[in-house]
Amino acid sequence: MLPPVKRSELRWLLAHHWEIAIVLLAAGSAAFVRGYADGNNLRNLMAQSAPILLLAVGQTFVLLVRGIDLTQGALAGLASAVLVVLLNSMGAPGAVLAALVIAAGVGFANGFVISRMRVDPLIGTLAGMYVITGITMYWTGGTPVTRTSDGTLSFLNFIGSTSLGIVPVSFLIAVAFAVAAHVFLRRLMLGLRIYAVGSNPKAAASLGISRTVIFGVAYSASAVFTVLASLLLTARIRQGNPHLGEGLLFESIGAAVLGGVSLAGGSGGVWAAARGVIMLALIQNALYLTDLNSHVRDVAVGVMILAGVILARRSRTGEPQ
Amino acid sequence: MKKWSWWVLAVALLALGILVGYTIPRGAPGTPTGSGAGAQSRKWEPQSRVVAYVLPNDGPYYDLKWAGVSKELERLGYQPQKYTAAGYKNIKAQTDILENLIQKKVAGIILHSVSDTAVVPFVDRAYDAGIPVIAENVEISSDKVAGRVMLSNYQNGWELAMALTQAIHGKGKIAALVGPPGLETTDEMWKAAKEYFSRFAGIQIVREEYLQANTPEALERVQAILAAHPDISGIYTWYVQNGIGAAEAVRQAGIPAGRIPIVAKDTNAQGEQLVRDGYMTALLVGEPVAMGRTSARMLDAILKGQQTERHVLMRNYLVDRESIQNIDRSGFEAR
Repeated sequence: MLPPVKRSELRWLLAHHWEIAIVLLAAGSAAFVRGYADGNNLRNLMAQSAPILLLAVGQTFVLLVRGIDLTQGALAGLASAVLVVLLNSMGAPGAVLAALVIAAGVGFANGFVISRMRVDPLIGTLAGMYVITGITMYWTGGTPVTRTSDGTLSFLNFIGSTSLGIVPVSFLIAVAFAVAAHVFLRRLMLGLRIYAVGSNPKAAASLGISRTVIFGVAYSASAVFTVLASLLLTARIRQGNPHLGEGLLFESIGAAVLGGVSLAGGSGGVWAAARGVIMLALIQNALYLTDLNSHVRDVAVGVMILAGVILARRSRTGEPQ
Repeated sequence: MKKWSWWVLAVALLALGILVGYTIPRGAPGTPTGSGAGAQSRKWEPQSRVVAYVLPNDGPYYDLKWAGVSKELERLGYQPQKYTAAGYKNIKAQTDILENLIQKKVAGIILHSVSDTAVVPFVDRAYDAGIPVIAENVEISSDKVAGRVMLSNYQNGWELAMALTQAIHGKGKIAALVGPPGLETTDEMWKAAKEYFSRFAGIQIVREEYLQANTPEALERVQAILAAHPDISGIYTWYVQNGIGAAEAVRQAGIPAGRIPIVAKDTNAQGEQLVRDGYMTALLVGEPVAMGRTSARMLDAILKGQQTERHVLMRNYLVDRESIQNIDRSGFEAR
């Protein structure tokens, strides 16, 4: 007879249902899906999920303050074209730095408008999305920037095509920034204030925490992470493409929320976003390697996401925030 | 287990991955590599019977092409599978799909690309992995493409412009529903159309609207155009679904059939009815089923090392109210 499960063990299982689900899914796929556990496939998996990890982490910053950032997809497209133009003219360090500074500025302005002018984040960033898309299309005409200098090409090749063993450089970059974001949110005063504003805005205000500054920081972080994600995607295709952001927004929000970042603010974090990204990537990759009908595949992805969210909600009581 | 321990575990797994990675040989064993110049003469050794058909989107045109591809591949003994990127320009989705198909070691890929350039690194990787790629509909700027089945986009745009110019007797204001911004196929069509229109001093292009295949949006855009330019003489549209939206806007505005000629590419039952009703002037009809079938046959021949035409240009033809009954439907048989 099996020994009874202790209460503490059950609590641990409930609290870590996500991690257990990820391990089970990965193990199940490795056992039953041909080519899944192959080193090349693991490399693909990491390279494909790296940009989404960055986007989801960026989105987490704004979700934590009860916001949302719909500009991510549009900004990724603009950033892709801008990055290649800057890389051609000023080299890698300057180009990346300039793009990040511009992004931080755009993000801060976004947060400032939403917070100070009391604009609903959904509407504010929707407007931003239109503005950025319009600027991008006006500037590029929708045409990719394919002319790259030798320096640009070798930089993009290094980021987009180089691996350390089976770990792509792009994935290492994404993980490094995700860890930095985690430390920022959990260890630094500014990060803790983001949680404070998201959890209880009135209490945060009574403690003298500036909502405007916190929103500015959160939206800046989202924009910076978007530009980093755009850099990784640009490196994968070795060109600046104004359409690069298409479809990314839903993956970013979906992954963060799936992993347990609350749309109501103040709950979740980088690890929550990361496990959402991992879950989505594992499901999609496994299904692509099978011979399922494409529409059945979509249904399966949808059902699994829904099941994940319901499970997460049911066991939220035991989950560490 | 404490929270930080998950991070330790993650870092440990990462380190393990790096370590393990150095023990894995690069490239699939036994797959030949070589320069792109050999794409035409290379011998392929398929490792499965699965052929992937990779499309930008779902929709009537793609359904017809898929009907041609899938039926022909099945007849030839392959296992066809369809993959869509869910967007005309969803680059990440399509490049991820290609990467996964290379991993899956499919026998071949027929690719209607979302971009002529963005997929190049992945087409090159497919070549290196021993998987032939047939470019369909959209040119791919790589010499590692095994074969091409194309439409003459330039000629299509030119012919649509000719039909519209004839219908408005070479003068008047025209508006255009061009296509998704940056889509090479529709950009080339519109470039040709504009070149043709520029030969007529009396033709003035007052509006260029970029939009995807979207009938309700086409209807709304044309309603706005009609409000801003009640004297509009003709409307160019890149696709029958948008042409339908334009025709419905004209009909709902109470404008008599034929007063504002509308031209569009491709056909479907509703489009043909609008031509019969006089709300649409001409349709440039292609052969999507035959196109898919041609791609399937080309891939089969390439895989078997047989001689085959590596660059096929599919034909299109204009039909109007008088000729619509005579559309050659043999190309649609597979549906």
